[in-house]
Amino acid sequence: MATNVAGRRYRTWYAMLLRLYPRPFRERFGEGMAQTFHDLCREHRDARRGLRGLALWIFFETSVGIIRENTTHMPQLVKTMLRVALGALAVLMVPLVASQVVEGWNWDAGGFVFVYVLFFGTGMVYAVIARKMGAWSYKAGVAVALVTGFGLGWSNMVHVADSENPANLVYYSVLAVGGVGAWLARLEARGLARTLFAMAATLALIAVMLPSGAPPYLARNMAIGHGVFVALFTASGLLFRHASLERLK
Amino acid sequence: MKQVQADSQGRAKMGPGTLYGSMGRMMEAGLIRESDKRVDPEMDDERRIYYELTRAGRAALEAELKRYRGVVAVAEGRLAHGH
Repeated sequence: MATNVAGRRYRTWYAMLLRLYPRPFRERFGEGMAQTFHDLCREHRDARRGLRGLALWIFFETSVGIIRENTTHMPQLVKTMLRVALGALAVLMVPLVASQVVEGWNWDAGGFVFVYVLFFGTGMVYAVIARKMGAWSYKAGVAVALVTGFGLGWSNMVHVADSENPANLVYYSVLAVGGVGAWLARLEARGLARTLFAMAATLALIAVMLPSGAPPYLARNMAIGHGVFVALFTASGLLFRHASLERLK
Repeated sequence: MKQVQADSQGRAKMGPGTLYGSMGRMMEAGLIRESDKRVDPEMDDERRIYYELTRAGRAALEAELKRYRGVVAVAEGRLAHGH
């Protein structure tokens, strides 16, 4: 008697689970799947075996099928968004875990949401731009440029917040050069190479011209930081240059 | 599902999610279709739906079997020569 009640309950849940399949799939196979589940439950019950293990296994196995069927029929852009969203979530784990162990790191929920949006936005920009060309050097150039741009924007945001010196906002001009350059270049490798070299030059100019007012030990660290960013922007430019030369071959 | 379990001596277990998903993909690819033939009238249930291989499905199956035989032949050749 108890097994009957459990069987009915599992069949109701299974019918609800089947509703998660895409409509065409559900209309074609939904009834057959529900019937198959019903038959399996009946056979298990007749053999006086428990239903819980069977139900758990079939619910899991069907859930995997539901994910597969839904992603198969998704447009490519939605699949890309899903991948980027999951990737951004994985990267978000770094500050999330770090905030638990590093003293003084106390972002509120809004801070994490903001950072997640930044990760997701950067990832989507990479996915959309990198799809334009199959060359590895182009994809690598996009990745290096975005990570470096993200790092520069991030460190500058933190620095401005800490020092409350609005002069540091001038660093955003480097990102503005990148945005305008990418737009003018229509994302072509040759134009992007020039854009990245221009970004490196702008940053080097700012580093030389802007008085930091920092003590000598800090000034040295800042110089190294500027040097790393300039080198990365230059490396990205070289990768785009390589991609543009490959296209000419 | 029972056939898969029996053929594999219980090593492979297939659930409805895998079975109907595979059938959906095979139907989309034109490898199988619904059939009105009734295999066993004694056991028949009017709700039961039968499927059969299409000509393209049979050709795909034969091509796949040929590929498997080729792989097995290579492996057996290697074993025979002690490589």
